[in-house]
Order: sequence, then C-alpha cells, then structure tokens
Amino acid sequence: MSKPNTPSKDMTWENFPRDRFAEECFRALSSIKLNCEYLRHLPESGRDQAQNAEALEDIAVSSARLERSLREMMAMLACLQGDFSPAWEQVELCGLLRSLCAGQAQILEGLGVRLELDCGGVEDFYVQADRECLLQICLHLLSNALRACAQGGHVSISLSVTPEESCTLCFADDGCGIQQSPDNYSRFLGGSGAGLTLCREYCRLMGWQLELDSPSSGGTRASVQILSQAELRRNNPEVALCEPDSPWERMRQESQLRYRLALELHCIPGLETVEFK
Amino acid sequence: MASYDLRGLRVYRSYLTELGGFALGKSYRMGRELLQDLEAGLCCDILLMDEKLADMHAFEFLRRLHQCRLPRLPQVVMLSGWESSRARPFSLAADPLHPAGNYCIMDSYSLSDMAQSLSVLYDLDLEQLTRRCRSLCEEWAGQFSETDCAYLVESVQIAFQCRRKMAIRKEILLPVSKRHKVTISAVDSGIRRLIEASEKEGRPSWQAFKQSFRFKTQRPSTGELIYSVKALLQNNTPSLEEGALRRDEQTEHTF
Repeated sequence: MSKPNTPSKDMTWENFPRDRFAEECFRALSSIKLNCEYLRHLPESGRDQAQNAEALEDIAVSSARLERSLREMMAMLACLQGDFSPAWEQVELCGLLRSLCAGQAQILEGLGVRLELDCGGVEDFYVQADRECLLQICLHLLSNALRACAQGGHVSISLSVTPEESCTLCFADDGCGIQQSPDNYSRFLGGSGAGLTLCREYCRLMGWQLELDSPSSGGTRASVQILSQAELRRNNPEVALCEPDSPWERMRQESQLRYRLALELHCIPGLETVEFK
Repeated sequence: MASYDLRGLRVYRSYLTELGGFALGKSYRMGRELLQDLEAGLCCDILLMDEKLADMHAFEFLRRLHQCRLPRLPQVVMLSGWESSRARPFSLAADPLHPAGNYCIMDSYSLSDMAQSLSVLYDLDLEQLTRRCRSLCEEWAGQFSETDCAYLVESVQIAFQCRRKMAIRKEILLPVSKRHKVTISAVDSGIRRLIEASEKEGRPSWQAFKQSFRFKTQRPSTGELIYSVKALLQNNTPSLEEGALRRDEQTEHTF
C-alpha cells in the first residue's frame, strides 16, 4: 500500500483541471451576478412575479454549482499537497446507501430514470472508512450514473458482502457508456471533471480498488472493492478509529449527507430545482 | 440564442424582453438544429452564443456556419468565458473562421453593457468594413477621394448582403447612387478612379492583389473590383466564378 501522503499518478499538478474548474466557477458567478443585476435594475412594476422567482431560482442553482466546484477544487488541492489522511471510523454502509436512494421518486419524476438499491438481503453492514471520502465516492458515482442515462434509463446500486466481510459496492447504469461519443459529450457538459480522479484517489488512500468498465450490453459499471476490517488492520496496523458517534454527531452526519446529496443532485440537468426531502 | 445550458440564457432573454427593442427568437441547445433552421430559412441579425453548445463548441459551429449556403450570414456574438478570454490568436490571412468580421466576443460583465453592445453592433458592420476598405485604398492608391472610397465601401457592403452575384449597376451601384444623390455613372466613375490611381501607383500590394485574382496585366472592372475586395475580406481564394463575372458584367454593360 503506497504512503497515504503520496498522491497517485492520476492526481498530479499537470492533470489538475484548472480550466474546467475556472470555467465552472466563473460561469456560476456570472449567472449569480447577472440575475442580481436583473432583479435590481429593472422596475418591478409590470414584471411577472414568476420571472422574479425564475431569477432567484437561477441564483440558487448557480450557487450550488459554485459550491460543488469549490469543494472539489479544495479536495483536489488537499490531495495534491499530500497532507490529507483518512479519518477512519465505523460507517454503516447500508444505511448510507438507503439515504442516497431516498430521492428515488423525485429522480424518476425529474429525469425519468429509475434508481434501485440492492443490499443483498443485508440490513446493516459496517465498514472502516473515512466517512467524507466514502460519501464523496458514492455521490460522484451516483451522479455520473444518473447523468449517463437517458429518459427511461436505469441505475442500480448493489452491495455484495463476502464471508470474509469484505464487500463490493457497485453502481451500474444502462446509459451512454464511458467511451467518448457525441452522446457522452452532451451528457457530461458542465462540472469540473474532477469526480473520478478524486474517487480513485480516495480509494487509493483507503486501500480500496475502483474499477470502471462498459459491459457488452451497454452502460457503465463502477465497482468499489472495500476491505474487511481484518484486511485493513493487516495492511494498516497504525489505523486508529475515531471516537464512536454520539447521537448528536449521528444527527449531524445525517443532516450533512442530506445536504450534500441535494447539492450533488441539484447539479444534474433536470434536477436543479427538485426538493429532496 | 444558443447554449448547452438554456437556464444560463434565461437572464439575457428576460432582460432583453423587458428592455424592449429586441425581437428574440428561439433558444437552441444543439448547434446542429440551429444550422438546420438557418439553412431552412430562419432569419436573424444576431446569434448570441455560449462558448459551448450541447453537441459542439462555438468555434466548430462558426466553421460549419460558413459552409452553409445562406443568403446572409448573421453576426455571431460569443459570450466570453474562461476559454475565450484567453482565446487563441486569429490570423486574418490564415484562419477561415475570420471572414469580414461577422463574429465577435462579448464579455458578460453586465446586462446593461450587453444590451448596449448589441444595439451598437447593428452599426458596427459598416464601421469595420469602412476601416478595412480604406486601409486597402491607402495601400493601393495612396491618395484618393473620400467619396470614391465611400462608393467602394458601400458597394462592397451591399455585395456582402447577398450570396448570389448581383447585377452591378442595378443592384449595387444604384442604391449607392441614391444614397449619395448622384447618378450611377458617378459612382461607377468614382470606383474607376480608385482603380486608375492604383494602376498609376503600381504598388506591389496592388500587383499582388491583381495576380491573386487573376487579373494579370488587365485592370479590373468596377464589378470585378467590388467582388474581389469582398472575396479578399472573406479570405476566399479566387475561383472560375470571377471569369463568369466578367461575362455577366459585359452583358450588363451591353444593356
């Protein structure tokens, strides 16, 4: 296992997507600025209230895009500067995945894409992970799967647990696949393009494996091999778990997850204004 | 208007609609659809365009636009973003994207500036053309009459407005003569004076121009000069059509 503080070969200053980050940030800022000007400078008399609401909505959407871009940029910089180490804790994975899929109905309505979860009959399953890294990985892979799908598409999240208590987390879709194509180009416009790089780096830092492939039937399958607790201790004896969660901390984490999920989904065209409860 | 992100265009649309004075058409995500509609007869003066469309970059759109057989090319206004603010330098001579200035980049700093710029843009065509034609006259003829130069500028502008070859006297020189309240012959003579002055000067730039448009030792006629200047500003290579022009013009003169 490579040293935690040495970034992988994909995570380099040369590969830092500076232009895409800048474009995302400036595009969002411009939208915020111009909508504020619109609301401020033209007289309100005679203006349809719906247009005011539209302008405010566009400000909110742009703010979400800006926040997402800045979070990703900071995450990449932390990895590049080599001072990021996982904060290990027990994470209940099935509960996290159920929370990710809580917006199934809104996603179906907004995108026409069916999202399903299959934990293989397991009610709860604990893994050792950096919660933030695990959450980022899940959000990126879910977001990519939803973007790849056309109307009527299907995304499935599955968890399969081995007898040795390692597991494989899989995000599969029947969308446009990972090969460069006009369809692929138009579905992945916007965004900084840093998602997969960050996913790979987080997996590397935690000793996990991330694999992407396009099955012959079409679509994409992203699989994350998560170490069992025994394997983790064997590979990384100095890992120290964080203090157990207090109920307050648990509530805080759930609230954060809901916020981050909404932030990620609001950056997907078609879901910008959906209220996820 | 065109952008991969129609939501981003919404504020421009709302502002220009409320401001008044602009007739706004449909917003497009796909460059392909917009090109199809333009070829099918969609008329517009200005295309307000994001750098990115859902199926192509705006520069790719511009290339394809110039391959279309349109009676009149709309002015393309590209909203600047991160890429165009560090845009690759264009060489007027080498880059097929840069015909007689029918695209420009606009900074998206403020809605009021944008609206004002669009209003000014309607008049900017003539100013650019005047500058370029004047520069050519200076290069070729040295000394010339401002009026004669204006005749040439306005004739070339009319020629730009129509893709097909126009009847020189009836469709090009006549509108110019009406504007200046002179006869068609006066306009014709003014442009001929420019040709004669250039011949007299015999500068290398004039010789090179004649050679590239296959005039060799002959001096171009009025119509030939108008269309050659148009082609030069569009950065097209001369073609057999120039010969055809000469035959058409002879017919016109006979009439």
